[in-house]
Amino acid sequence: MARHKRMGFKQPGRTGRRGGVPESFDRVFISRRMLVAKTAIVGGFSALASRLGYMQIVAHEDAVEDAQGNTQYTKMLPAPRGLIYDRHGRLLARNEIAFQVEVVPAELPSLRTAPVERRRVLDRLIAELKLPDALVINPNDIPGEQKDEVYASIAQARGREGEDIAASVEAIRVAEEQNYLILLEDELSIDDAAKWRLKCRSTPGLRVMSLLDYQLGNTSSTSQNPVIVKTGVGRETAMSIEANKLHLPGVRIDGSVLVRRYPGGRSMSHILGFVGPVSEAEVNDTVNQAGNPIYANNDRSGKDGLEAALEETLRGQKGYQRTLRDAIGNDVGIVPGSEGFNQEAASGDSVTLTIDLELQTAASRALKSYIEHSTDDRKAKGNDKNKQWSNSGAVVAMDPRNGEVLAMVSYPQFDNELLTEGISEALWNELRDDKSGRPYFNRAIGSAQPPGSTFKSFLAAAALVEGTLRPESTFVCTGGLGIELAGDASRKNAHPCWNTAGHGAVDLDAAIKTSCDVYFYNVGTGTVEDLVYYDMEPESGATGNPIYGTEAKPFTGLGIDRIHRDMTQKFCFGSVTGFELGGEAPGLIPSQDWLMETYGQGWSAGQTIIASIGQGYTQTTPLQMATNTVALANGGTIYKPVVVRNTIKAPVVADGTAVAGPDAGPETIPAEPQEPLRRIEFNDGTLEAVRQGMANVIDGFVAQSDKLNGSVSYATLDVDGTQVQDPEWAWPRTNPPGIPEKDRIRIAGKTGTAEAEPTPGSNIEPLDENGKYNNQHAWFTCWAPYEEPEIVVSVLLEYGGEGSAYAAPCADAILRAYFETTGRRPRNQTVEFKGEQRTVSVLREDREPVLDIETAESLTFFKPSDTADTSGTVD
Amino acid sequence: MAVALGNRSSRSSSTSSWRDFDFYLIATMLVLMAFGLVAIFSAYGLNTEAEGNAVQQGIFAVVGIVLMLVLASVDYRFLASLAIPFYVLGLAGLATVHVIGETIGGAQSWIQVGPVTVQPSEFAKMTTLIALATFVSSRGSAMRQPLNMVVASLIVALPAGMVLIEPDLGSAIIYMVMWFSVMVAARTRPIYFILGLLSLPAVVWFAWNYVMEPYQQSRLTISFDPDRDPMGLGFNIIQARIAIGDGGLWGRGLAGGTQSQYDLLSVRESDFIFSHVSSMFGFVGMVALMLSFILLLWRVLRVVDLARDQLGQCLAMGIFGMLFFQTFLNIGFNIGIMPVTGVTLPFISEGSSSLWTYLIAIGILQSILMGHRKFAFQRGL
Repeated sequence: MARHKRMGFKQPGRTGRRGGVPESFDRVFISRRMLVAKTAIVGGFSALASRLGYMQIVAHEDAVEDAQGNTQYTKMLPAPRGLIYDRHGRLLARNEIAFQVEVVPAELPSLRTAPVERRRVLDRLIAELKLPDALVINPNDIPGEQKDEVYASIAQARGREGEDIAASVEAIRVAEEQNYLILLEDELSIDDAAKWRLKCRSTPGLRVMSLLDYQLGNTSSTSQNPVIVKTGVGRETAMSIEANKLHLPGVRIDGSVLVRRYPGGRSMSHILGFVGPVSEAEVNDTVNQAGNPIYANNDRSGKDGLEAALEETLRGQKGYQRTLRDAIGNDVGIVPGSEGFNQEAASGDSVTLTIDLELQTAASRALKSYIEHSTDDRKAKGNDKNKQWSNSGAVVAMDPRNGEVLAMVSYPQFDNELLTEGISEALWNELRDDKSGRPYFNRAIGSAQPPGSTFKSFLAAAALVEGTLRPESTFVCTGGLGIELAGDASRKNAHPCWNTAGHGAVDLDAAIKTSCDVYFYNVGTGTVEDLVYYDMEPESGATGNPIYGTEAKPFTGLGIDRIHRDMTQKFCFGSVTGFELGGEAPGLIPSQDWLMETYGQGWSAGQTIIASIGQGYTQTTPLQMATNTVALANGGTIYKPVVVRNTIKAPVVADGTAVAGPDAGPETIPAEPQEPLRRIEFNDGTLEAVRQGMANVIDGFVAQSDKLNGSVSYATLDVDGTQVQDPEWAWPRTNPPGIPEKDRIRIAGKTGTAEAEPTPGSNIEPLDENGKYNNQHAWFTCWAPYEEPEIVVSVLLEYGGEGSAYAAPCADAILRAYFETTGRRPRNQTVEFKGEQRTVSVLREDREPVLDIETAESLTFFKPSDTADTSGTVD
Repeated sequence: MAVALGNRSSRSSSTSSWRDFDFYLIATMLVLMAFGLVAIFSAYGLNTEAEGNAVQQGIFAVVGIVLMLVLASVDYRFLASLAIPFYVLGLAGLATVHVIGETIGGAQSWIQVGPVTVQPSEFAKMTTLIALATFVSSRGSAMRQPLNMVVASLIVALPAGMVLIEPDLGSAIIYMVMWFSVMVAARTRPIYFILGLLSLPAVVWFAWNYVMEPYQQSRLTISFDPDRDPMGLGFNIIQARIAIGDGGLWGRGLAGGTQSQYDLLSVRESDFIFSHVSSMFGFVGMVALMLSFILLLWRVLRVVDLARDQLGQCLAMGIFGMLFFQTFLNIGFNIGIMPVTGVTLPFISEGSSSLWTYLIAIGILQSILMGHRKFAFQRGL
């Protein structure tokens, strides 16, 4: 085209039409120069058009996607988590609306282009929220060959020693693979921060920085996923940040975060567990029916206890909404046409537990009191370096009519509310550390210990079912027995009774009442070819060199195979009960097969003898103890222990209060009648012998005439430090002295004083010079009332000493609390005893449970100061 | 009729030949301005407030058209006789900016005059062009002498330098393009032209290393790699790219795409108005828009062709160069092939200064057109 024009100007006709052109005014010159301009137009606009064509036609689809991605997002509508109530409608878990400060890394001022501005924003946030300093390693600042050396010196500075240093270095090495920055301590005190800053000067790579800087350091700077800086921020702080939004780019306040609160106190921590941030796996794995993920980043889910076990019930259905947003990130509306996709949030279902918070708290206080009492009392009797003092234990209380768990306490305890806002590594370690008694560990379901004498009742019941034992069967106890060592008939393996003086001829009733070991050796040990035993001369078992009689007697009992079968298949020992909470220990009922598989050893008769009295390999948990005691209490029915009573399908509003309480409305699903798990068929009246024996145990405590050789020491338990050798004051809370016979609540129970290996790693000798165990776990399992059982209570005080001395009175206090909740015993009762007014009530008069057992006063042990008349002592 | 009127060398408008007024040029220009009004109305959200913005721009347009007509009726050679006062006035305006100027978008380029925010660098473009064209045409073939070239360069370099330190890199580049354009029409040695082109890299190097702050450098380089800082400097460039692509072949309609509706695309009424209208009218609409610009530019080149003296040629060529390059630069950075330098899209972007400057330029072009016939007849006589 340009070429044509250029030629055109040379045509005479055209010049003629335009008239003459002066010499100085060179048309050809200018038209040539104009060619440059025309080329520029054509070239320039061609370039623009082709680029535009590419963008609008070729890359159109991508741009549309970007356009929508940029302006639309799926807004998650949080579903309020279901609430948890106790059986009387007391709130145990609720939601609280909290402000959460978040930082969106991609929206912060860029580290590269606006570092000063970025620092200003972060520092403002750190100051406003008082964020803690963290101790961090930046491995990139350390020359490769120095790393091990530097890491070791850091570990040393953190107080690690020996092998721990190598372990620490290894841990850092592993963390190095995944993270840019490695967190060592997440909450430094001011002093520690100053100390570490000094150390930083001489250590390459070591940094003291705000936790926020650490979080951002390990997050992609282009990430759109908000980093949670702090949850549960005060309203004023949140408002102040919101008001300065324009000066804090990248900082967001989420005012709709629901924080979980546990108003039931520490005693509920093990049962409830806690919620915590969802893991990446949870976000990725779980997808609901609509194809949407159930969780979004930064959501919370149940992490342990019922919060985890009932996650699907409690979490509800998250809502989704395709939402439009503008450049500042404000929502401006719902995406048109997305109605089919959008989904309202539905709150989770609430649940009512079988737990009675009042009883739970009382049990918790009683447990703590008796653990401390056991330690104090036994220390007063003699501080032996090989004694391990009790600092832990568990209680399970169940309804023998349906298996409902009324109380389940483990001690020591922790505050699960602290865990909901993210847990620091230090706290987490402390909760699981032996030194602090592993408070995180739920001993009620997880502590499998030898049951000791409590096992005898179950063994007797099994033998009665099998027919190897009859209620009137009698065995003579001379204080112990011995069996010949295999291959050396001249030497015998000694199995003394706990009472080496011997109990004489005992029947089942007396055997349970006196807890005679020899009787139960006979019940448990079966007929085996060539196996005979010889009676031990009375009192000779107390020495290291017992003397035996000459008469060879055969065993006629169950034998290990039947013990194993009956205990695991009729009773519910040796395997998990199927309780709702995770972390249940299976316990153990040994068998020949088990021993061969586990240790490659053949079973010996001596092991059956030991197993017969609940020692050796046998292990049960407090929950199993209660579950099986239920069968003794109700005549043979075993229920699966349950802690969830029913589910309430009432909406929960966002601020955490329920629209309807547990008893309100037709939406409440009534508790399912519990189907028995198993039923043990006893021949008519045979079980009654066992039950009667157990009732006599307690009656024996009460009646001085039945006190056996001073060995049942219950009468001495209930005065702190000083012992009351006054049988009238036995079992004082449930049936206080002076109570009319018609009001007496008969209690049946069995003590256990189980020989205990010391905690692994301690330098306590397990055995004394006579080969006896230095330490014992204190057990007690019981039910009441004897005739029409309402409650079963099983108590375990780990390393608590004698069951009769410490576990039984603990159970007494819990029974008393229970009968106070049912109204059968008054709440504010004092009795006059030897001129003193003594409080026997366990519960507080004001009905409200004292939730924090750490601050609550311990159960009174009737110290003189507790009495109305403080002038006298209680001896 | 024009013949009769054109018989006197009067400077009054009555002597101009309105028959030579280029109505194609004016029509194209009006189409672009109308298009601009619609675009501004849409960019502000098609509501009452947006109506106010569009009406204001319409008033600016009317005022500008009056200005254009006044300039068309004045003989451009009269303007040339006032070249020196104009030039000084232009420099004074640029100097004023540094004293009482307002800083908008990081550059101190504006002064407030009553209700109107004025950008002196825009008007100084025309005063500088008149001075340059007057000097070059008065020297004629003497422009082959180096000294005259130096003077011609200094005439542009002075205001360009002042603009550059505002900092307004885009306008400074337009000044340089103006110099080149006028040199194309000058009777000078091609070697100067080539030397000028060759000096360009040196100028760029100098500006990059000694004039520009790091943040200015970032703003230039981010243009080609916006993903480097997608939420910062690169944000709007990415939004523009998305908005344009989102427009597709036929566009998203009068409201524009989501990028505009949700306020993601900034300055879509001004520097990034091309991205906005791309999302409105799509590729088809934009080809039509660019054809309008080509038609306009072609009519401007026709003025160069028809100009009867070197002054007219130089003025028209300078106007062509500025108009072409500013259009190219603006569309170029909208679609990501030129660095973002903050120049407006002529006749479309909101604002008075740029619009009035180009309307004045069109007025001068019409004056050249109307003058040429008169010349022809005088010579014919």
